[in-house]
Order: sequence, then C-alpha cells, then structure tokens
Amino acid sequence: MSLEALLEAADRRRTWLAVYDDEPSDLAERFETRNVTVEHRTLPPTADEGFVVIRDEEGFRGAVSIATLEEFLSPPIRRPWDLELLPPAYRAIYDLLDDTLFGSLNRRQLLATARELENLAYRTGRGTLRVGFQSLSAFRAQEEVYRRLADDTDLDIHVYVSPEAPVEDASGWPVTVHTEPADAVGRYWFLVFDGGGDDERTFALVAEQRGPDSFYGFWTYDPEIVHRAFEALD
Amino acid sequence: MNEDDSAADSVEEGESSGRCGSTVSPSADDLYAALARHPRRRVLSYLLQQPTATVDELADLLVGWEAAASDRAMGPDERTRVLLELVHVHLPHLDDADLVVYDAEADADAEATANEVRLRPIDEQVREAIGFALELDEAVESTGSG
Repeated sequence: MSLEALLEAADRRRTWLAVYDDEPSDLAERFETRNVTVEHRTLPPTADEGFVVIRDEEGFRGAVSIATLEEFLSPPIRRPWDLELLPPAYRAIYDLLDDTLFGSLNRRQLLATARELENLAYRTGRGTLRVGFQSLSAFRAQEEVYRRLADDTDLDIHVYVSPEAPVEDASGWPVTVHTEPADAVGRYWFLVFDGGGDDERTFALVAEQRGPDSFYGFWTYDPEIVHRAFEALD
Repeated sequence: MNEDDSAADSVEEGESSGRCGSTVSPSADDLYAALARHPRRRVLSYLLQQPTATVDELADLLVGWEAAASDRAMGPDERTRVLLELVHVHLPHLDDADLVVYDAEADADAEATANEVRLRPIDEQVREAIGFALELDEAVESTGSG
C-alpha cells in the first residue's frame, strides 16, 4: 500500500467535535477537513470557559478546554526531550486526534506533531525510525535534533530526501540517507517508527504538501497502519 | 420530601406541590440538598437554558465542564464515572426534589442514555434561589478556588 493509499484510507474515518461556547466559534473553519464535523452547543453562563467534546465512530474520545484545543492550532515548539515542560492537557490532544485526517495542517502544527512522535521514539530508545523531510534543507533545519536522537539512543534512523537535492558526504552523519522510493520522498512529510518491537509504541505521521504552508495528513498509533506505512517505504 | 403529589407526572395540567398553580416548589431542605453538589448545579444551569436534554448530553456537558474547570484532558474512563454518578446519584436526587422529571427505571438499561431529562416548571422564587447558587459558583470559579 502506498502512502497515497494510506491517506485515502484515512479519509474514510469520521470525527465529531462539539464546541461548547457562549459565542459561535471559528473552530469549524480552522479544522478545515471534511472528515471532522464541528457542532456548536450553548455553554451555560456560569461556566468559566468553553470546552470541546471529541467523538469518533467508536464513541466518546475525550474532552478538553477550548484554550487547550487552540494551543494545538498554534502550538509551542520545543525540543523532543523537553516536552515534559508542556501542559499535560495540551499533550493529551495528540492522543485524542490521532487517526483524524486534517485537510490543512500548517508547518508549525506538523512540526509540533512530529516533536510529540520524536519524543516517543526518544524515550523508547531503540527501533527503526524512518523520516521523510521532503528536502535536504528541511532536514538540515532539524539536523541538530536528529543528531542528538542518534547520539543519545540506539535508534536506527533513516532519513529520506529528494534525489534532486545535493547530497553532501553523508558518512559523518549518524543516520542512513535514502533517496528512494521516488514517489514518497519530496511529496510527503513522514515519520514512521516500529516501536522498538513494542506495538504500544509505534506511530506514523503521513502528510502530503498541498500548498505553500498546507499539509494534508494524519498521525496514528495503530500498529497495523504503521506496518503498512513501513511497507510503503520499502 | 414534598407532600404526596400523586399527579407529579402531569405538572402541565396544573398539579403541583407548591403554592402557585402550575409550578413546582420543593421544600427548602430538599432544594438546598439538591444544590449541594456542583454536578447537580451544572445540570440545572444547562436545563435552565434549554429545559430538556438526554442523559448522554448531560454526561458530555459534565465531563467537558470538568475538563475546562480543572484544565485537564478527560477520557472515556472519566466519562463513564461521570455517567454513572449522573444516572445513579444526581438525576435521581434532582427527580426526588421535584426539579426534573427523570425516569430512572427506563434508564437501568445501559443503552438507554438517550432518555430525556426534563426540567419541571419552576416557581420563580426557586429559580432565583438556584440562580443565586449558580452566581456564587461563577464567582468562586473565577477566583480559582472552585
């Protein structure tokens, strides 16, 4: 199954957000995906602040304050090993919105998501991590993070970059560089991790660039989908 | 408890335990006991805006409200706890105080959380007392000690 097919499969899952607020909110537009239905409910006047209830096809997923959800939309960026400094409610969002296909994530939102996943890989400390950054310059921007991930852990890190980018001498890098498969690199930003053999620790992030600062994609912790993502990269 | 109100299910027909013709007026003890827990105050706050809601809607309301008030993410386990307390404690209490109509037996089946809870037509003085309790909640919550 190709990465494209993985995105198509993600397209079929539905999520519902019920936003309890005293004013109509713009969360519907900001979530920008036809797979997420956003409904508005009236917040009783004695409630101090609004909240959001998240449901999927299996039922209730979770509830967070609107402020927390807005942090997800304009997220803080930290090094992967510094995420414990961030509020637990904000970090819980990544466990509530997995398997949700976003029509338009911006680069910052995608980077914050990647950080959450890199944090999981870092804490796991071993296993295979395959990362596609589209361009070598995008990887260079994250090189410091990936050097430390490689130095501090036993992770086997594979970086995928577009073959058009000038590939410098890679022998000094603690990662393995790939320029194939051609249909995956360049077009997709992806992070795929095998959990070091633990199915509770697998993840995959797959996002296709569709605009200057717009990515169509999702992340998942489902080991079956992660396995298919690995196969797409072979 | 209130005086025996054998026609409690037909308040619209003008039967009531209160002084006014078609509204309800629980005793002070019953009213204050009903208001003594914040989930019941929150349910009343919601029903005063829209007089009917399903048990599911009220469970969503309470778990979301708690998420915002405590600045935490709430998951399915928390919602289950909230739902059980609602069905087994808070709604029966509000029904006994004659503030809502809630058929506990119909909801004994776990699937029946689509059952409706309906606010009874409330005497103006009782509504004010409830409003005062809720205002106090609002003041306490905004100073961070709620």
